[in-house]
Amino acid sequence: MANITQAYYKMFILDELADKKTAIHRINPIVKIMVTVIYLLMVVSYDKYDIIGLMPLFFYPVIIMSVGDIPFKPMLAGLAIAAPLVAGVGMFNPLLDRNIVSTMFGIGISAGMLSLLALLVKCSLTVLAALLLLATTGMNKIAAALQRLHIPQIFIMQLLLTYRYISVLMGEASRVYYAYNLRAPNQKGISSKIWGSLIGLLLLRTYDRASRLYQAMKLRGFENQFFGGCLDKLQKKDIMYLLGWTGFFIIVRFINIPMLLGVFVTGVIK
Amino acid sequence: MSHHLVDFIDVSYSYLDGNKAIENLNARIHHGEAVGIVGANGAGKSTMLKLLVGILMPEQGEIRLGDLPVTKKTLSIVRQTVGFTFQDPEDQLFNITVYDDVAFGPRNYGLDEKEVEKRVVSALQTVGIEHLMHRAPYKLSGGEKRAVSIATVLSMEPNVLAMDEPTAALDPKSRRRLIELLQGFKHTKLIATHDLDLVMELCSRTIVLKDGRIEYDGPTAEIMKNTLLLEQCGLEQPLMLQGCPICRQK
Amino acid sequence: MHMADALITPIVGGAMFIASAKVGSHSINQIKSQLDDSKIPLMGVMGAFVFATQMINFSIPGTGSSGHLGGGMLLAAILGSNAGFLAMAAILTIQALFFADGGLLALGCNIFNLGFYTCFIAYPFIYKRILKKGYSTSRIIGASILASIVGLQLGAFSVVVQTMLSGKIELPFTTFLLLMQFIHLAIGIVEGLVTAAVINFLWKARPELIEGSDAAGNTGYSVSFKRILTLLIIATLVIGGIVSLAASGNPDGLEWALFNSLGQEERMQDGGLDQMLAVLQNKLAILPDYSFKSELAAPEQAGTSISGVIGAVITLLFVAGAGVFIKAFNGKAKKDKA
Ligand SMILES: Nc1ncnc2c1ncn2[C@@H]1O[C@H](COP(=O)(O)OP(=O)(O)OP(=O)(O)O)[C@@H](O)[C@H]1O
Ligand SMILES: [Mg+2]
Repeated sequence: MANITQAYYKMFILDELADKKTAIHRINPIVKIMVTVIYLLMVVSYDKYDIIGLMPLFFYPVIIMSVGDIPFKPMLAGLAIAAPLVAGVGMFNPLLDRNIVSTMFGIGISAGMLSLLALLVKCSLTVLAALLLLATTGMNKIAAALQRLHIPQIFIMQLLLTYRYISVLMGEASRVYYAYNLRAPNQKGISSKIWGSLIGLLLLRTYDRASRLYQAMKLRGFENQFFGGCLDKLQKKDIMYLLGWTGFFIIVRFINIPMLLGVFVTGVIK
Repeated sequence: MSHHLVDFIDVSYSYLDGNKAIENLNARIHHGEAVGIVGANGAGKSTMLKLLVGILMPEQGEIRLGDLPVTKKTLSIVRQTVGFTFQDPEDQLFNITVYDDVAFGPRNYGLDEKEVEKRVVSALQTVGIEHLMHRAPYKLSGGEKRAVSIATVLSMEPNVLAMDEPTAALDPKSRRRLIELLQGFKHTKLIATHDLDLVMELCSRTIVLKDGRIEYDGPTAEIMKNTLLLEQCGLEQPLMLQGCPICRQK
Repeated sequence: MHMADALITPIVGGAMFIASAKVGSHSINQIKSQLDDSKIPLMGVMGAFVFATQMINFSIPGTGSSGHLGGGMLLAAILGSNAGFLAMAAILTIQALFFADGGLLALGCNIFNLGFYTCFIAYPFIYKRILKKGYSTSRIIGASILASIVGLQLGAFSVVVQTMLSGKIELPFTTFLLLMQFIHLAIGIVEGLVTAAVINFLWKARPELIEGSDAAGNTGYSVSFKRILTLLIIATLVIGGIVSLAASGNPDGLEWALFNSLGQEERMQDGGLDQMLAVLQNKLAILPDYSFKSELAAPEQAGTSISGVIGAVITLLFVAGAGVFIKAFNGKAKKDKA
């Protein structure tokens, strides 16, 4: 239980980071969404053994993090969630794809090892890109951008309400949990007998609070419409940001720069 | 304009489970009047205010703001006219920053971002919490949350203020500031509270509710002297009229 | 059982995205007319609730693995098919944004896997059928468990198919399939029990909240078999169309076909890019002895040749350098300001 509450506080850290005012934060949210999607597409389109070609793509998260002044630590939570699944499924690659493709320092490197490593690299890159989108844009602006992209109102509403109610639910949950614990100090965890009613009660309480919140929103003119009206018009810098990154992605996707570099360096040494 | 009068005309309301919370309530509140609504727990204070802003709809009778009846169709205007703060400020705050929360109402009414900012800053200044502007509401103390919830309403520049327990959870200094603040408003005010001293200072008129009915409606000064009626309604004289407990003992 | 970005190809992700969007817009059209003020917060709350339950992992006895609830059945049972599906879509979107759980490219896959089968198949054809005669505790339990199992089995199968189509992992189809179906059988039972417990409680405490229970009244629409069939057919056509488009002309299996369609080899053979590179190479003339083509087109060798590794290390050094440099620059700018 304590874990959940913590996870939920961590969750808001990313959204709070979006309040900063760095150059990256000021880029138009629509453009940032587009760049993120292009980046993701690029990352996953790499060949399953091509680790080396992927390397230049690290520029993107690193630059966004440093220019956007985003700390690395909150990103770790995301990696911790996504990596086990990918590692779990990819774990079998080295076992099943045993073709030795090279030996390095006397150890045979199998194709499966390569593809597992590539998977993990891709996993890190995609996770970072998604989290950075949120950390440099924020939930409200993303919703506003979605609205501009003609995503239906109902869905955006649902998105925002769910997001808001998560904190309501977590608040209620921790209150229920502490109230329970205070009166049942010697129990470990919550007795399974009352699981159903406890969860049900939690739901009801949350629903009642959520209804009041919803009323409060309505009282202040909320008409089931999201007004993200605060999006700025596309500016030159936004277009440049879009073209710049897209250009970079395309170049590194089709020209294996690390390979060139490596060949060049080894060539020189020889 | 339509906001000069607030009229409750023979209003009754019962909750879904059949609980009769308000019965045949009649009251007319004039422009600029400050009215204290008092009564024991469960007397129907919150319900009365919720009916005023159309969160609940009366099952019988009518509520009017001047010539504007409170109905589903007029809700948008009603809610622009009447600012309502909830008994629990938690119910009112749902944004990531205090700024966004205070800006929520003005934005919904389609104001441009410059005007929104002006309103937010002035609302926060009025309540004296500019320094909280960029904080997250869910990380504030109970009293700070209360102050923010009041600011969220002020930013909509309403003509009538309806407040449910505004001084609950405020420290003495904040309470004092709130009282001064409310004294400064020329709005019509309806304040549901258990804080009878607040009523003494702020409201010339008092409505006493008991089991959903009006037990008393008249000048504040009079009811506060009527210890018998107060007691019948589960209330007690304001402390400031009770004499000093320390001096009495000694 | 969230699908991850790294496990799919853009084509599979894209196809599933379109399929989910189609189902989503269908749902929106269906519920637009009957969204009232009590349903909207309920949708949000249920979304938040399922979001939270998905964050709790429980261990699955005997497998050494762990799983979490899907929640699709619960959403459908309380909100109905359409609103349930939308709530699920919102949950998964938030998870993709906040935890990169699943991921943005795989979002379509996840919405479909967790939302479609539960809300549009298990709910109308199993859950509702069983409860047609009315609600009772035992019927709720039976319906919940059965519907949860079926919904999750279909979802798990879908995960396997999508992963296999993407061809990024070596696990044989049948092994992966058996593993997934088995694990999700266990999860399905737990999910069914939890769903039943919650619905039972709500049914007793607030029957009006449950979609389709007598107290909720007739909400004026039901999910017809025909409509589901149409949806399924549309989804299949979209997915099939895109996948086969990508696969055509590649005899060596769908897997590789999908892969190569975006991979380098094929483009190399087109000549266009190849020629361009050759021209570039001649112009630069730094490395006349090395052929790009052979280096680039054979990733297996490329991945492990010494020069490749050296190049990768240098690139990473550059990346780190850029990061350090910008940070230092930012820090200085801040100091200057202060
Ligand atoms: N949601 C509800 N469902 C059913 N009954 C309710 C509900 N809310 C309030 N009531 C009942 O309506 C009556 C009036 O409640 P109300 O909240 O107006 O009291 P109040 O005067 O504001 O009390 P307090 O001083 O405790 O805030 C009470 O009997 C209460 O039990
Ligand atoms: Mg009250």
